[in-house]
This record gives sequence, structure tokens and C-alpha cells, in this order.
Amino acid sequence: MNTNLSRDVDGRRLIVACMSMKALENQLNKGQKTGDATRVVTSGEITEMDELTPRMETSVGTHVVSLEKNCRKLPTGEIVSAKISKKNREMQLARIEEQKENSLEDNEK
Amino acid sequence: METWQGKHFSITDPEGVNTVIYQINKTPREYLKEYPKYTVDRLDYTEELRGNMKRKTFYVDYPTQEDELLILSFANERVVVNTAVMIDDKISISRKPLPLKFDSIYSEEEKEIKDFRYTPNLKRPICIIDPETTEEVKPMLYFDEQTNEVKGKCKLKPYKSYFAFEIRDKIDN
Repeated sequence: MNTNLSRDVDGRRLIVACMSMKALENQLNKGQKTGDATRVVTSGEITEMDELTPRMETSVGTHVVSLEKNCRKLPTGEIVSAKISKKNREMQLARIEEQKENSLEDNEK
Repeated sequence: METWQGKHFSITDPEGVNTVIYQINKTPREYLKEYPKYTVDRLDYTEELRGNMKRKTFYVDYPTQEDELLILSFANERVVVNTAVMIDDKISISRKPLPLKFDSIYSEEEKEIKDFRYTPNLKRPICIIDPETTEEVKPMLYFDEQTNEVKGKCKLKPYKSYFAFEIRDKIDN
């Protein structure tokens, strides 16, 4: 995609590259044919707005996820349907395994 | 029957704010041929009204030991971007949220939806969000026989701004 990155947000180890995509106009640029890639430019304007930040509760609860039943069982006993996939579960387990290996390597260092 | 423990947490949106949260997943080594290095999963949520505010509970169905979260709070013509880390039973939130302002999101007039065509880099997926609805704008992939390339097509409304993001390594920056 033909975009200019406007702002990067520092995560703990990652960067979230954010783009505010400026409105496209119904006009072709010089030399551009219908269907050609359109250049998207960013506005990237920043503004103060603490009042718009959600209040997050920092505590985390647990629920039971069922692959076969495609659902979550909440602590209240309520069962909620969810899209649970075998592939995502396999990748989750592989990720956990890799995190364990990495933390062992870090400890050895 | 295979079951495991998922995690959930709650937030309260101020009036006029709509927050969506993504779990950032690092692709395990053995899947790197099929997937990009990082993928994002939008978290499901349930919500309850508390006065003028909405309390939302987000569900992480595939938690790991340590999960990075991307928090996007959309409001009129603005979005606040923040990150958090979920470890065990605690969430730590970044104290440096990034507010972005759009040029113009709202339009009174009905406009013709315009196709935005591009050559996607499948190893660097970019997520595009309509800030009014907070829904993702999903690209349609197709094979262009003339150029012999896989191309992407998104339907974007003209005269309207969108928000987009991608995840990168700090060291690759």
C-alpha cells in the first residue's frame, strides 16, 4: 500500500506504526488511469485528549474455552458462543512453547 | 474434549468513545512460511451500559505467558492509540497514549464508494479501520492476469479518512 507512516507507537518490544489516511478524492492524479494504485497520504495531526482515554481495570479474570463446543464458559456459569479454531489453538501452544524457550535462554545469559 | 483457560478484562469507555482492542501475536518459528511475523486478532467483547458510559469486557481466548495488546479508542474525528501488556492476572498499560486527529471523518453527503487497489505485501499486513463504525475494511485479494501478481482491493468511501496500522519489530525499524 502506498502510504506514508505518520506516527509510531512504542509497545514493550514492538512498534505500532499508525496511519491516519487522508480522504481519497474522486479525481485521478496526472497520468493515473482508472484502477491504478492511489497514493494515500496521511494527516498525522496530533492533539490532546486525555478525556477520551478509556478507564482500564488492570485485573484479569479467567474463563474456560472449549474447542469442540465453540464457546466460552464464564465464571458466572454463563456460556457464550465464540469462534474457536484448532489452528489458533495450535499456534497458541507453539507460542507458549517458544516463550518458555526464550525465557530459559534469557535466564542462562 | 479440549478446553483451556482464557482470560478477560474490562474497560469503561467515556461517552462518545468506542474502544476496540487487538491481541498482537508473534508467529511461532514453524509457521513463519505461512504467516507474517506478527498478526493481530481483534478481541471479542460484551458490553453493559452504566449511565452514559459503556463497560466492555474483552476476551482473550488464546492467551500466552505474556500478551501485547493494542488499544484503539475512536471518538469524533479522533483516535487514541495505546498499548498494554497482559502477564498472568495483571494488565500494564502504557502511560504514553498517542492521540491522532483525522482531517475529516464525517460527510453529510452520500458518496460513491471507491475501490482502492494496491499490491499487498503479505508479510506486512496492514489493518484499515473505518473510524465511524470501528469496523475493519477487509481487502479482497485477486489475481491480476495482466501483471501476473496477486493484488488487493479495498472499498473506501471518498472524502472520508480511515485509520490504519501495522506491527513491526523495534529492531527492524
